[in-house]
Amino acid sequence: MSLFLSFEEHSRFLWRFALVYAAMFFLLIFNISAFSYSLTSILNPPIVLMCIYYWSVFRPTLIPYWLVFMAGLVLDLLTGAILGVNALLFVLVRLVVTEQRRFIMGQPFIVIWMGFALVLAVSGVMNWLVYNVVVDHVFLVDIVVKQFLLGFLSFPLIVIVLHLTHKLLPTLNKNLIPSGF
Amino acid sequence: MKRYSPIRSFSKVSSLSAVLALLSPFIFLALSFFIIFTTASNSSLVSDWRVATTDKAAGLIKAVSAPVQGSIFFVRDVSGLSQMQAENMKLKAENARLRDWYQTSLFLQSENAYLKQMLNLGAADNLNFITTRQITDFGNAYAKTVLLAVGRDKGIQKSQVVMSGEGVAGRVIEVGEKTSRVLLITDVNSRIPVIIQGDMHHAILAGDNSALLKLQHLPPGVSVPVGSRIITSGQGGIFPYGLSVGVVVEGGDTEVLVSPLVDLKKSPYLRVIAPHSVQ
Repeated sequence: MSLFLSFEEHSRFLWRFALVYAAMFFLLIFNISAFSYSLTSILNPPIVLMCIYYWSVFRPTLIPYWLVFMAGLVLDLLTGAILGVNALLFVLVRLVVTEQRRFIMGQPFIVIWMGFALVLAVSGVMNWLVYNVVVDHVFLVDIVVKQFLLGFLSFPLIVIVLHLTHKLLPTLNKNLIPSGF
Repeated sequence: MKRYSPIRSFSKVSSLSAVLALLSPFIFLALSFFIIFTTASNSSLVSDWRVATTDKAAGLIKAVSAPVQGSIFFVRDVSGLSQMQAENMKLKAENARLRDWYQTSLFLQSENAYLKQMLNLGAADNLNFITTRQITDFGNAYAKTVLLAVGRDKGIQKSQVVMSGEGVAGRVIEVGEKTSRVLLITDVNSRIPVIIQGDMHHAILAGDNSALLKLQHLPPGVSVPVGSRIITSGQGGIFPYGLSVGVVVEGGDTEVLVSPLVDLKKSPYLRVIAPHSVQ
Protein backbone atom coordinates (compact mmCIF):
# COMPACT_ATOMS: atom_id res chain seq x y z
CA MET A 1 0.00 0.00 0.00
CA SER A 2 1.44 3.35 -1.04
CA LEU A 3 2.19 5.79 1.78
CA PHE A 4 1.22 8.87 -0.19
CA LEU A 5 -2.18 9.23 -1.85
CA SER A 6 -3.34 11.88 -4.29
CA PHE A 7 -6.37 13.96 -3.30
CA GLU A 8 -8.54 12.05 -5.77
CA GLU A 9 -7.38 8.66 -4.47
CA HIS A 10 -7.91 9.83 -0.92
CA SER A 11 -11.47 10.99 -1.58
CA ARG A 12 -12.33 7.76 -3.47
CA PHE A 13 -10.94 5.76 -0.55
CA LEU A 14 -13.04 7.68 1.99
CA TRP A 15 -16.15 7.68 -0.21
CA ARG A 16 -16.11 3.85 -0.38
CA PHE A 17 -16.14 3.54 3.39
CA ALA A 18 -18.60 6.39 3.92
CA LEU A 19 -21.10 4.89 1.48
CA VAL A 20 -21.00 1.41 3.03
CA TYR A 21 -21.14 2.76 6.60
CA ALA A 22 -23.98 5.17 5.81
CA ALA A 23 -26.03 2.42 4.10
CA MET A 24 -25.39 0.05 6.99
CA PHE A 25 -26.28 2.66 9.60
CA PHE A 26 -29.47 3.61 7.73
CA LEU A 27 -30.53 -0.05 7.53
CA LEU A 28 -29.72 -0.52 11.24
CA ILE A 29 -31.95 2.43 12.22
CA PHE A 30 -34.60 1.29 9.71
CA ASN A 31 -34.46 -2.19 11.26
CA ILE A 32 -35.43 -0.99 14.72
CA SER A 33 -37.85 1.83 13.83
CA ALA A 34 -41.52 1.42 14.61
CA PHE A 35 -43.81 1.20 11.60
CA SER A 36 -47.34 0.34 12.63
CA TYR A 37 -49.38 -1.83 10.25
CA SER A 38 -46.18 -3.43 9.03
CA LEU A 39 -44.77 -6.92 9.25
CA THR A 40 -41.87 -5.57 11.29
CA SER A 41 -44.29 -5.07 14.19
CA ILE A 42 -44.40 -8.84 14.57
CA LEU A 43 -40.75 -9.76 14.07
CA ASN A 44 -37.77 -7.82 12.84
CA PRO A 45 -35.86 -9.27 9.89
CA PRO A 46 -32.13 -9.39 10.70
CA ILE A 47 -31.16 -6.65 8.22
CA VAL A 48 -27.80 -5.85 9.81
CA LEU A 49 -26.83 -9.54 9.66
CA MET A 50 -27.65 -9.49 5.94
CA CYS A 51 -25.35 -6.46 5.47
CA ILE A 52 -22.52 -8.19 7.28
CA TYR A 53 -22.96 -11.39 5.28
CA TYR A 54 -23.09 -9.50 1.97
CA TRP A 55 -20.03 -7.33 2.60
CA SER A 56 -18.10 -10.27 4.12
CA VAL A 57 -18.57 -12.07 0.80
CA PHE A 58 -18.03 -9.21 -1.65
CA ARG A 59 -15.93 -6.55 0.14
CA PRO A 60 -14.67 -7.79 3.53
CA THR A 61 -12.05 -5.03 3.71
CA LEU A 62 -14.87 -2.47 3.94
CA ILE A 63 -16.24 -3.96 7.15
CA PRO A 64 -13.34 -4.49 9.55
CA TYR A 65 -13.91 -6.48 12.73
CA TRP A 66 -14.14 -3.42 14.96
CA LEU A 67 -17.01 -2.12 12.81
CA VAL A 68 -19.10 -5.31 12.96
CA PHE A 69 -18.41 -5.52 16.69
CA MET A 70 -19.58 -1.92 17.20
CA ALA A 71 -22.65 -2.45 14.97
CA GLY A 72 -23.61 -5.42 17.15
CA LEU A 73 -23.14 -3.45 20.37
CA VAL A 74 -25.22 -0.50 19.09
CA LEU A 75 -27.98 -2.87 17.97
CA ASP A 76 -27.95 -4.55 21.41
CA LEU A 77 -28.10 -1.20 23.18
CA LEU A 78 -30.95 0.13 21.05
CA THR A 79 -33.10 -3.00 21.03
CA GLY A 80 -32.73 -3.80 24.72
CA ALA A 81 -31.09 -7.15 23.92
CA ILE A 82 -28.45 -8.78 26.10
CA LEU A 83 -25.36 -6.64 25.54
CA GLY A 84 -22.76 -8.41 23.40
CA VAL A 85 -25.01 -11.07 21.80
CA ASN A 86 -25.22 -9.47 18.37
CA ALA A 87 -21.60 -8.30 18.60
CA LEU A 88 -20.54 -11.93 19.12
CA LEU A 89 -22.70 -13.23 16.26
CA PHE A 90 -21.61 -10.53 13.81
CA VAL A 91 -17.88 -11.08 14.49
CA LEU A 92 -18.37 -14.84 14.05
CA VAL A 93 -20.27 -14.37 10.79
CA ARG A 94 -17.62 -11.99 9.47
CA LEU A 95 -14.88 -14.50 10.40
CA VAL A 96 -16.52 -17.62 8.95
CA VAL A 97 -18.00 -16.06 5.81
CA THR A 98 -14.75 -14.30 4.86
CA GLU A 99 -12.98 -17.66 5.08
CA GLN A 100 -15.51 -19.15 2.62
CA ARG A 101 -15.90 -16.15 0.33
CA ARG A 102 -13.74 -17.48 -2.48
CA PHE A 103 -16.19 -20.36 -2.88
CA ILE A 104 -19.37 -18.25 -2.50
CA MET A 105 -18.36 -15.28 -4.70
CA GLY A 106 -18.43 -16.91 -8.11
CA GLN A 107 -21.67 -18.78 -7.51
CA PRO A 108 -25.18 -17.89 -8.78
CA PHE A 109 -27.47 -15.91 -6.46
CA ILE A 110 -29.33 -18.99 -5.26
CA VAL A 111 -26.10 -20.37 -3.72
CA ILE A 112 -25.38 -17.02 -2.04
CA TRP A 113 -28.94 -17.09 -0.69
CA MET A 114 -28.55 -20.65 0.61
CA GLY A 115 -25.25 -19.62 2.20
CA PHE A 116 -27.11 -16.87 4.03
CA ALA A 117 -29.80 -19.37 5.05
CA LEU A 118 -27.12 -21.48 6.69
CA VAL A 119 -25.61 -18.46 8.48
CA LEU A 120 -29.11 -17.36 9.56
CA ALA A 121 -30.01 -20.79 10.92
CA VAL A 122 -26.76 -21.17 12.88
CA SER A 123 -26.88 -17.61 14.27
CA GLY A 124 -30.57 -18.05 15.18
CA VAL A 125 -29.85 -21.22 17.15
CA MET A 126 -26.82 -19.59 18.86
CA ASN A 127 -28.90 -16.55 19.80
CA TRP A 128 -31.59 -18.84 21.19
CA LEU A 129 -29.03 -20.82 23.22
CA VAL A 130 -27.45 -17.67 24.69
CA TYR A 131 -30.88 -16.35 25.77
CA ASN A 132 -31.88 -19.69 27.29
CA VAL A 133 -28.68 -19.78 29.34
CA VAL A 134 -28.53 -16.11 30.34
CA VAL A 135 -32.24 -15.37 30.95
CA ASP A 136 -32.81 -18.77 32.61
CA HIS A 137 -36.05 -19.36 30.74
CA VAL A 138 -36.80 -21.95 28.07
CA PHE A 139 -37.85 -19.98 25.00
CA LEU A 140 -40.02 -21.70 22.41
CA VAL A 141 -38.17 -22.88 19.30
CA ASP A 142 -40.84 -21.29 17.10
CA ILE A 143 -39.08 -17.93 17.67
CA VAL A 144 -36.05 -19.29 15.82
CA VAL A 145 -38.20 -20.73 13.01
CA LYS A 146 -40.20 -17.51 12.51
CA GLN A 147 -37.06 -15.36 12.60
CA PHE A 148 -35.40 -17.69 10.10
CA LEU A 149 -38.32 -17.62 7.66
CA LEU A 150 -38.62 -13.84 7.84
CA GLY A 151 -34.88 -13.35 7.32
CA PHE A 152 -34.70 -15.94 4.55
CA LEU A 153 -37.62 -14.46 2.60
CA SER A 154 -36.57 -10.81 3.00
CA PHE A 155 -32.92 -11.43 2.02
CA PRO A 156 -33.42 -10.82 -1.75
CA LEU A 157 -35.07 -7.44 -1.05
CA ILE A 158 -32.23 -6.21 1.14
CA VAL A 159 -29.66 -7.56 -1.32
CA ILE A 160 -31.11 -5.21 -3.96
CA VAL A 161 -30.28 -2.21 -1.71
CA LEU A 162 -26.83 -3.62 -0.93
CA HIS A 163 -26.16 -4.40 -4.58
CA LEU A 164 -27.06 -0.83 -5.57
CA THR A 165 -24.69 0.48 -2.89
CA HIS A 166 -22.05 -1.91 -4.23
CA LYS A 167 -22.50 -0.52 -7.76
CA LEU A 168 -22.04 3.02 -6.46
CA LEU A 169 -18.67 2.26 -4.87
CA PRO A 170 -15.85 4.00 -6.73
CA THR A 171 -13.14 1.71 -8.08
CA LEU A 172 -9.83 1.76 -6.28
CA ASN A 173 -6.24 1.00 -7.12
CA LYS A 174 -5.60 -2.55 -5.78
CA ASN A 175 -2.53 -1.35 -3.88
CA LEU A 176 -4.75 0.91 -1.77
CA ILE A 177 -6.95 -1.86 -0.37
CA PRO A 178 -6.15 -2.27 3.36
CA SER A 179 -5.64 -5.64 5.05
CA GLY A 180 -8.86 -5.31 7.13
CA PHE A 181 -8.34 -5.02 10.90
CA MET B 1 26.08 -1.00 17.96
CA LYS B 2 22.95 -1.55 15.84
CA ARG B 3 22.28 1.17 13.28
CA TYR B 4 18.75 2.54 12.90
CA SER B 5 17.14 1.28 9.71
CA PRO B 6 13.86 2.88 8.56
CA ILE B 7 13.15 -0.15 6.32
CA ARG B 8 13.55 -2.57 9.24
CA SER B 9 11.34 -0.45 11.51
CA PHE B 10 8.65 -0.18 8.77
CA SER B 11 8.67 -3.94 8.33
CA LYS B 12 8.33 -4.33 12.13
CA VAL B 13 5.27 -2.05 12.12
CA SER B 14 3.71 -3.87 9.17
CA SER B 15 4.32 -7.28 10.77
CA LEU B 16 2.73 -6.00 14.00
CA SER B 17 -0.34 -4.81 12.11
CA ALA B 18 -0.49 -8.19 10.33
CA VAL B 19 -0.47 -9.99 13.70
CA LEU B 20 -3.19 -7.64 15.00
CA ALA B 21 -5.25 -8.23 11.85
CA LEU B 22 -4.93 -11.97 12.40
CA LEU B 23 -5.82 -11.79 16.09
CA SER B 24 -8.54 -9.14 15.93
CA PRO B 25 -11.51 -11.49 15.35
CA PHE B 26 -10.48 -13.55 18.38
CA ILE B 27 -9.93 -10.41 20.48
CA PHE B 28 -13.44 -9.18 19.60
CA LEU B 29 -14.96 -12.63 20.19
CA ALA B 30 -13.37 -12.78 23.64
CA LEU B 31 -14.53 -9.24 24.34
CA SER B 32 -18.11 -10.13 23.32
CA PHE B 33 -18.15 -13.15 25.65
CA PHE B 34 -16.77 -11.01 28.46
CA ILE B 35 -19.47 -8.35 27.91
CA ILE B 36 -22.28 -10.94 27.74
CA PHE B 37 -21.37 -12.68 30.98
CA THR B 38 -20.47 -9.58 32.99
CA THR B 39 -23.53 -7.53 32.02
CA ALA B 40 -26.15 -10.31 31.82
CA SER B 41 -26.00 -10.98 35.54
CA ASN B 42 -26.12 -7.27 36.37
CA SER B 43 -28.01 -5.33 33.70
CA SER B 44 -27.82 -2.10 35.72
CA LEU B 45 -24.12 -1.96 34.76
CA VAL B 46 -25.06 -1.02 31.21
CA SER B 47 -28.29 0.80 31.92
CA ASP B 48 -26.61 4.22 31.63
CA TRP B 49 -24.98 3.23 28.31
CA ARG B 50 -28.32 2.10 26.93
CA VAL B 51 -30.02 5.31 27.99
CA ALA B 52 -27.23 7.49 26.56
CA THR B 53 -27.21 5.58 23.22
CA THR B 54 -30.98 5.65 22.80
CA ASP B 55 -31.09 9.36 23.68
CA LYS B 56 -28.51 10.10 21.00
CA ALA B 57 -30.15 7.84 18.39
CA ALA B 58 -33.72 9.03 19.09
CA GLY B 59 -33.56 11.94 16.64
CA LEU B 60 -32.20 9.70 13.87
CA ILE B 61 -34.77 7.00 14.51
CA LYS B 62 -37.57 9.56 14.35
CA ALA B 63 -36.14 11.06 11.15
CA VAL B 64 -35.89 7.64 9.47
CA SER B 65 -39.26 6.32 10.62
CA ALA B 66 -41.32 9.49 9.97
CA PRO B 67 -41.30 9.41 6.12
CA VAL B 68 -41.79 5.62 6.01
CA GLN B 69 -44.62 5.81 8.52
CA GLY B 70 -46.14 8.70 6.54
CA SER B 71 -46.01 6.61 3.35
CA ILE B 72 -47.60 3.63 5.12
CA PHE B 73 -50.45 5.82 6.40
CA PHE B 74 -50.89 7.41 2.94
CA VAL B 75 -51.11 4.02 1.17
CA ARG B 76 -53.46 2.74 3.84
CA ASP B 77 -55.72 5.81 3.55
CA VAL B 78 -55.85 5.66 -0.24
CA SER B 79 -56.30 1.92 -0.54
CA GLY B 80 -58.61 1.53 2.43
CA LEU B 81 -61.63 3.68 1.44
CA SER B 82 -64.04 0.74 1.25
CA GLN B 83 -62.66 -0.57 4.53
CA MET B 84 -63.23 2.86 6.06
CA GLN B 85 -66.87 2.80 4.95
CA ALA B 86 -67.43 -0.57 6.59
CA GLU B 87 -65.58 0.63 9.68
CA ASN B 88 -67.76 3.75 9.77
CA MET B 89 -70.92 1.65 9.83
CA LYS B 90 -69.45 -0.48 12.60
CA LEU B 91 -68.50 2.61 14.62
CA LYS B 92 -72.00 4.08 14.26
CA ALA B 93 -73.52 0.89 15.64
CA GLU B 94 -70.94 0.82 18.43
CA ASN B 95 -71.64 4.48 19.20
CA ALA B 96 -75.34 3.78 19.66
CA ARG B 97 -74.50 0.91 22.00
CA LEU B 98 -72.02 3.06 23.94
CA ARG B 99 -74.64 5.78 24.47
CA ASP B 100 -76.72 3.24 26.36
CA TRP B 101 -73.65 2.22 28.33
CA TYR B 102 -72.89 5.88 29.05
CA GLN B 103 -76.25 6.31 30.75
CA THR B 104 -75.66 3.13 32.73
CA SER B 105 -72.15 4.21 33.75
CA LEU B 106 -73.41 7.64 34.89
CA PHE B 107 -75.88 5.91 37.13
CA LEU B 108 -73.24 3.48 38.45
CA GLN B 109 -70.74 6.30 38.99
CA SER B 110 -73.14 8.29 41.13
CA GLU B 111 -74.18 5.15 43.00
CA ASN B 112 -70.50 4.24 43.53
CA ALA B 113 -69.69 7.72 44.84
CA TYR B 114 -72.66 7.57 47.20
CA LEU B 115 -71.65 4.13 48.54
CA LYS B 116 -68.02 5.27 49.00
CA GLN B 117 -69.28 8.30 50.91
CA MET B 118 -71.34 5.97 53.10
CA LEU B 119 -68.25 3.84 53.78
CA ASN B 120 -66.07 6.94 54.26
CA LEU B 121 -63.64 5.92 51.44
CA GLY B 122 -61.55 8.60 49.70
CA ALA B 123 -62.40 9.01 46.02
CA ALA B 124 -59.73 7.73 43.62
CA ASP B 125 -58.01 10.30 41.45
CA ASN B 126 -58.71 10.35 37.74
CA LEU B 127 -55.63 9.21 35.84
CA ASN B 128 -53.57 11.84 34.03
CA PHE B 129 -51.64 10.82 30.92
CA ILE B 130 -48.74 11.92 28.78
CA THR B 131 -49.44 10.68 25.26
CA THR B 132 -46.44 9.86 23.09
CA ARG B 133 -45.27 7.86 20.09
CA GLN B 134 -43.25 4.65 20.22
CA ILE B 135 -40.12 5.10 18.14
CA THR B 136 -38.74 1.60 18.00
CA ASP B 137 -40.37 -1.72 17.34
CA PHE B 138 -40.59 -4.62 19.76
CA GLY B 139 -36.82 -4.84 20.20
CA ASN B 140 -36.11 -8.42 19.24
CA ALA B 141 -37.74 -11.80 19.50
CA TYR B 142 -36.38 -12.33 23.01
CA ALA B 143 -36.84 -8.92 24.64
CA LYS B 144 -40.23 -7.27 24.27
CA THR B 145 -39.51 -3.60 24.83
CA VAL B 146 -40.32 -0.38 22.98
CA LEU B 147 -38.75 3.06 23.09
CA LEU B 148 -40.92 6.11 23.72
CA ALA B 149 -40.15 9.60 22.44
CA VAL B 150 -40.39 11.16 25.93
CA GLY B 151 -38.01 11.09 28.86
CA ARG B 152 -37.02 13.10 31.90
CA ASP B 153 -37.68 16.28 29.87
CA LYS B 154 -41.42 15.48 30.09
CA GLY B 155 -41.30 14.28 33.68
CA ILE B 156 -41.20 10.55 32.93
CA GLN B 157 -39.94 8.41 35.81
CA LYS B 158 -38.96 4.77 36.19
CA SER B 159 -41.82 2.31 36.91
CA GLN B 160 -44.55 4.51 35.45
CA VAL B 161 -47.38 2.55 33.86
CA VAL B 162 -47.85 2.73 30.09
CA MET B 163 -51.21 2.13 28.38
CA SER B 164 -52.65 2.00 24.91
CA GLY B 165 -56.23 3.04 24.23
CA GLU B 166 -57.35 -0.49 25.04
CA GLY B 167 -55.40 -1.51 28.12
CA VAL B 168 -52.10 -1.80 29.97
CA ALA B 169 -49.06 -2.03 27.64
CA GLY B 170 -46.24 -2.22 30.20
CA ARG B 171 -44.09 -0.14 32.51
CA VAL B 172 -41.12 2.19 32.13
CA ILE B 173 -37.83 0.46 32.99
CA GLU B 174 -35.24 3.00 31.76
CA VAL B 175 -35.48 6.75 31.49
CA GLY B 176 -33.19 9.01 29.48
CA GLU B 177 -33.33 12.74 28.86
CA LYS B 178 -35.48 12.42 25.71
CA THR B 179 -36.41 8.73 25.56
CA SER B 180 -37.67 6.00 27.84
CA ARG B 181 -37.81 2.23 27.46
CA VAL B 182 -40.97 0.29 28.23
CA LEU B 183 -41.02 -3.36 29.24
CA LEU B 184 -44.12 -4.77 27.53
CA ILE B 185 -46.51 -7.03 29.43
CA THR B 186 -45.71 -9.85 26.97
CA ASP B 187 -42.01 -9.89 27.94
CA VAL B 188 -40.71 -12.88 29.85
CA ASN B 189 -39.68 -10.61 32.75
CA SER B 190 -43.11 -8.99 33.15
CA ARG B 191 -45.24 -9.87 36.19
CA ILE B 192 -48.42 -7.94 37.05
CA PRO B 193 -50.60 -8.45 40.14
CA VAL B 194 -54.16 -8.79 38.83
CA ILE B 195 -57.66 -9.81 39.80
CA ILE B 196 -60.34 -11.57 37.81
CA GLN B 197 -63.15 -9.09 37.44
CA GLY B 198 -66.34 -10.45 38.91
CA ASP B 199 -65.14 -13.11 41.34
CA MET B 200 -62.17 -10.90 42.45
CA HIS B 201 -59.64 -13.75 42.78
CA HIS B 202 -56.05 -12.50 42.94
CA ALA B 203 -53.34 -13.83 40.60
CA ILE B 204 -50.13 -12.88 38.81
CA LEU B 205 -50.19 -12.25 35.06
CA ALA B 206 -46.90 -13.33 33.52
CA GLY B 207 -45.51 -12.77 30.02
CA ASP B 208 -43.50 -15.41 28.17
CA ASN B 209 -42.61 -13.54 24.95
CA SER B 210 -45.56 -15.08 23.11
CA ALA B 211 -48.74 -13.22 22.16
CA LEU B 212 -50.64 -14.64 25.15
CA LEU B 213 -50.10 -14.11 28.89
CA LYS B 214 -50.28 -16.75 31.61
CA LEU B 215 -52.33 -16.41 34.79
CA GLN B 216 -50.22 -17.78 37.66
CA HIS B 217 -50.62 -18.29 41.42
CA LEU B 218 -54.39 -18.61 41.32
CA PRO B 219 -55.97 -19.89 44.55
CA PRO B 220 -56.34 -23.70 44.42
CA GLY B 221 -59.55 -25.01 42.92
CA VAL B 222 -60.43 -21.77 41.14
CA SER B 223 -61.68 -22.29 37.60
CA VAL B 224 -61.59 -19.24 35.34
CA PRO B 225 -64.22 -19.13 32.57
CA VAL B 226 -63.29 -18.00 29.05
CA GLY B 227 -64.16 -14.34 28.47
CA SER B 228 -63.36 -13.21 32.04
CA ARG B 229 -61.83 -9.75 32.15
CA ILE B 230 -58.50 -9.31 33.93
CA ILE B 231 -57.76 -6.02 35.69
CA THR B 232 -54.85 -4.78 37.80
CA SER B 233 -55.21 -5.38 41.54
CA GLY B 234 -53.19 -2.37 42.68
CA GLN B 235 -50.91 -4.56 44.80
CA GLY B 236 -47.19 -3.93 44.60
CA GLY B 237 -47.63 -0.18 44.20
CA ILE B 238 -46.73 0.07 40.50
CA PHE B 239 -49.97 -0.62 38.62
CA PRO B 240 -52.97 1.30 40.05
CA TYR B 241 -56.15 -0.62 40.74
CA GLY B 242 -58.68 -1.28 38.00
CA LEU B 243 -56.73 -0.94 34.75
CA SER B 244 -57.87 -3.40 32.07
CA VAL B 245 -55.15 -5.83 31.00
CA GLY B 246 -56.72 -8.66 29.04
CA VAL B 247 -59.43 -11.22 28.49
CA VAL B 248 -59.21 -14.96 29.26
CA VAL B 249 -59.12 -16.95 26.02
CA GLU B 250 -58.29 -20.36 27.45
CA GLY B 251 -59.82 -21.06 30.84
CA GLY B 252 -59.95 -23.91 33.28
CA ASP B 253 -58.16 -24.68 36.51
CA THR B 254 -54.75 -25.78 35.16
CA GLU B 255 -53.35 -23.28 32.68
CA VAL B 256 -55.22 -20.05 32.07
CA LEU B 257 -54.21 -18.01 29.02
CA VAL B 258 -55.04 -14.34 28.65
CA SER B 259 -55.10 -12.29 25.46
CA PRO B 260 -53.79 -8.76 26.14
CA LEU B 261 -56.10 -5.90 25.16
CA VAL B 262 -53.20 -3.77 23.95
CA ASP B 263 -52.44 -4.05 20.23
CA LEU B 264 -49.33 -2.04 19.33
CA LYS B 265 -49.76 -2.86 15.64
CA LYS B 266 -52.94 -0.76 15.57
CA SER B 267 -51.38 2.50 16.68
CA PRO B 268 -47.88 3.72 17.55
CA TYR B 269 -49.26 5.99 20.28
CA LEU B 270 -49.05 5.11 23.95
CA ARG B 271 -50.03 6.89 27.16
CA VAL B 272 -47.81 7.13 30.21
CA ILE B 273 -49.74 7.55 33.44
CA ALA B 274 -48.49 10.63 35.30
CA PRO B 275 -46.94 9.67 38.67
CA HIS B 276 -49.26 11.79 40.79
CA SER B 277 -52.24 9.84 39.39
CA VAL B 278 -51.14 6.67 41.13
CA GLN B 279 -52.23 6.25 44.72
